Amino acid sequence: MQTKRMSRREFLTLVGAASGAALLAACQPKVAPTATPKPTATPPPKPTATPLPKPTATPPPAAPVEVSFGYEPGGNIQAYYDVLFARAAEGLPGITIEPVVYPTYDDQLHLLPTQFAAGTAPAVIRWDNAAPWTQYAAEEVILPLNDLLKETAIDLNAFPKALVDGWTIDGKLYAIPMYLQNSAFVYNLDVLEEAGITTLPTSMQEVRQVAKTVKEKTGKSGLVILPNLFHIHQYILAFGGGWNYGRTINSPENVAGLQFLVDMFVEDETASTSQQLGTAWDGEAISLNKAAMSDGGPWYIGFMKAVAPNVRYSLLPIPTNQPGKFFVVTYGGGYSISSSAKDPVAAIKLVEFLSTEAAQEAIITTELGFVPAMTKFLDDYVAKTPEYAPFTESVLSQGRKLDYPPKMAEFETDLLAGFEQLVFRPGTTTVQELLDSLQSKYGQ
Amino acid sequence: MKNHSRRLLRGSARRSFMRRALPQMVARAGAGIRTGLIQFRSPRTRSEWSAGYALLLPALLLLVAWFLYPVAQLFLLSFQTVSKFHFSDRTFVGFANYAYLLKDPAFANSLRIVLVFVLLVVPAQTVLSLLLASVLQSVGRAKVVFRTAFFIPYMTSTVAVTTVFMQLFVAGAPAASAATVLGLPNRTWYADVKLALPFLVLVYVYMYIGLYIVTFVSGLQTIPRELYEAATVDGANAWARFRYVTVPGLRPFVLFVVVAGLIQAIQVFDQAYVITGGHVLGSPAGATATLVIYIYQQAFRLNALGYGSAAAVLLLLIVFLGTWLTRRILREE
Repeated sequence: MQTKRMSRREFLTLVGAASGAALLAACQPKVAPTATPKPTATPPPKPTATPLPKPTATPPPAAPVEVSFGYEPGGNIQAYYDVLFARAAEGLPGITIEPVVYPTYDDQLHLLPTQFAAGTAPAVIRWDNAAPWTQYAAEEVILPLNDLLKETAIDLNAFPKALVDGWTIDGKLYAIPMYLQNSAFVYNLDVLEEAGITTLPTSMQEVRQVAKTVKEKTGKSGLVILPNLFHIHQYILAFGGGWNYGRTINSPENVAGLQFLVDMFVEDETASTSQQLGTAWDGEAISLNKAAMSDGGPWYIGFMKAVAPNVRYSLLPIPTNQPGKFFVVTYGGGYSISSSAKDPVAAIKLVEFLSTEAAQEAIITTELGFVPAMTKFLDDYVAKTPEYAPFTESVLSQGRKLDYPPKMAEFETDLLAGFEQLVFRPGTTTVQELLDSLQSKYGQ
Repeated sequence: MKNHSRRLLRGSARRSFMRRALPQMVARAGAGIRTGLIQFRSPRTRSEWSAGYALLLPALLLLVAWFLYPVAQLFLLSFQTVSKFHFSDRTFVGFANYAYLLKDPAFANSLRIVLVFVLLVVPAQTVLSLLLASVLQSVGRAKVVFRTAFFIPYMTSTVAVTTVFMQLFVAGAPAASAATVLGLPNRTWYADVKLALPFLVLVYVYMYIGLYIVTFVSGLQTIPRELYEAATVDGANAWARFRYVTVPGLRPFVLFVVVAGLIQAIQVFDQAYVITGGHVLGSPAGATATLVIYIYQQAFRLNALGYGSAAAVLLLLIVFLGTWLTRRILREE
């Protein structure tokens, strides 16, 4: 049998072509960190026996526009979006949603800066205003929506003013509210009862005392905290403090708030981090009866119902250093559009679709665990979720804001490193020194 | 004959055999194995060279695209400050990043932690894997089962292994409670400033020891059995055979295990990241802030890409230096 031999020239051409193809393939851009099936607004055409249409003067229908949508699917979020995506075929003609699903919300926040820099951020982003969106707005990597809103029927009056204001800087709106969120204080009634405590604390001083009793009587942790900026912020606010966008990082109130927390760890040894208790977050520690108290929020309601239905707990506004005075932080989730969106009009259409009354109502029907942002659904939510009853409209309307310094991510990293020094290596620094150094680094 | 050889190898003659002749025999055998791949030299034609390079071209191009270009970028970035949101906005700052790095106490802390980690991990995994491989040689048919069992942690996901260890070392959990026998407190190891690094060492050694056991088992199979027989005939006990036959025979493999172990240990990241749940990196209070954790924190949490790149360049130099020193020391020995 005779075989045809390849000439050297042919061989080199072939290798060159293969190398080029390999390089081209390797250089294809990747956008989504994880891939999920694409829900399409326009179903693919079914093969039929219909004869080919005769050419007419009507232009062919435009190909659907693909709009990427980034979110994290924790809790019931994926189930919620599955419901909405299923409606997209009717409600969002001409647009295909391309989900960009982040494993966790932390992952989303950590990946977004790189995606913004690389121009690969999803066109529409779901997040909350605990995210460093003000920094993103200042860097112009997310779009102001004021002009784009004219392309939609979104009525901002349907949302509480505080929520809309929470996403507004200098008259520019950067997100359409999706849900209302607030902080709270969580009491594990089973652990408190085990320690013989029948009356819930009405001030932070009492919280400290109750934590001591719990530790003495049960050996369990009186207070648990997941160290992050949001949770530390609650104790700062409880003592009348606040970051005030970096203007008051080292204020006496902030020093008092942080010192309170550090003392519970170091002096009293009644507080623990969730890590010390071997849990991923504070809610897990509460659900496992490992701790008596924690700061938290409405996300506990769905979690406890699913994970620890028999554990008795109470969710109330947060005590302050003034007996009988309580507070909550109100903030919210929303939809923003990145500056790298290929078709901002298509992106705002997607936001409009995700912000309809039907979408808001689905927050309740799918038991998403969030409070719908539209005012008209608040009563429905409370009726369906009695655990949320203490958070009345008046409590929420007086809620404090998340007034983080502009370089929030960097500030949080340094604050937490300092907090761990204070708690785990006492004596190496002081609260005042830490906040002074943060003031000089991140202050305005 | 037997009595004669035993008589011959008593006293100074035996010591001499053990110290000089036997190691030389082992070394020669090792050299034979190393040069076992017979080298053929024949004049190559130009077309053969061209074809050779053409075949290499795709790999070379990918090497340039995926390795050399990023390394070149890394060096370039280490002399620049980079905008967090616009990578093209770069400013040349000379050696400022390096100067700041050398003054940064957090960087010094990371260096210290990596040094302690390497000093604990590399000897532990080398000695343990060598001993276990030697023991495995004598277990007959069950060898394959044990070898596979030891190798499984290496094949398992780092996150899975670390998470299981975390559950075992929570205060009150079996491992943390058992450790109280040694006088250690019953605490969550990975959340305790004094126990977090030992915890990291435990997880790391557990994960990697299987790889090195397999390496040593392969190495042991290259040592001629005659050497063991000769040593046995000469009256060497198990320890003497291990000391004077196994160890010298495995020198190239020991070198590999130490160098590879060093390179990997310096770059430890995954386990340290997992124990913090990705929240406060280096937690608790910097006790697990390895060098790569420090680099990651600077580049992706504090968004100081230029500064993080400078630290990565120093890491590269440290790995090169550590490897060169180790190879040199072991070769001189």
